[in-house]
Amino acid sequence: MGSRSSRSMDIDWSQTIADLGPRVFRYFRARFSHEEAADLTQETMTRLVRKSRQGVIDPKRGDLAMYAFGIARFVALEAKKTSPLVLAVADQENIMQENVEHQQSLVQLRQALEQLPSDQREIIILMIDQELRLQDIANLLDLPLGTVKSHIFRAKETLRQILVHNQGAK
Amino acid sequence: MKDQELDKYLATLRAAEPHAADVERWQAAIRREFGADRRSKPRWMEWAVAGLIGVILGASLFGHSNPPPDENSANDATLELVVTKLN
Repeated sequence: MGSRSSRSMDIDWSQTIADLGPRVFRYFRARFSHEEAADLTQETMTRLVRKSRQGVIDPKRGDLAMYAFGIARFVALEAKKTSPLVLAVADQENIMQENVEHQQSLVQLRQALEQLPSDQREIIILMIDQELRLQDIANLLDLPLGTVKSHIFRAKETLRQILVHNQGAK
Repeated sequence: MKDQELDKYLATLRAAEPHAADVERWQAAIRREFGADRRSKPRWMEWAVAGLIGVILGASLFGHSNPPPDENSANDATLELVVTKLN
């Protein structure tokens, strides 16, 4: 116990947060406003450090990013229960200020993502992080690799249909 | 819609970046909650605690190997009584 927590204390958390924080932020940003995503990232990183200090997770025995995304999934689930709206008011204001075309595709994709079955949506959102391998995603979701691949295939098909339908409706 | 178009949509999500101020805020929150130093306790404190435990353990073991003075006194008294009775 003592050796495990002392190992976690040897980590340079400032650097870890600078490296890992933006990756976790992008995971949240797929479904939340910028401000919400930033808050949820902070919550995730705080829980990560706390668990590491308590010896619940051992950073030397596993990829820290995997632990972070595992925590992020629960944080997102909790946040969705309290804040089900996909786009907050602050996010709408950002759309006015930033590149309109880019933001419109973002809004369309987020709306489409919300219409996906939850297991498919989770995989697509995790795929946003390009450093996570499919095997990592399978481990995170506790699913066989083959199941993850078939979910991706189906999710892409469904997304494509939703996006085409939404484009046609405009 | 082709795969490339779908990838273009996903790329918009991959392009999302936090502000520098966000990262600084996360780092500050960790420092606030867990302390600025990487280690919560200095190493000398760990050695001091280990030394103290060693002293306590050593003292208790050493203490058991020698009978307490009271016991010697009791033995002397018993011996004295036996000698008196024999006389």
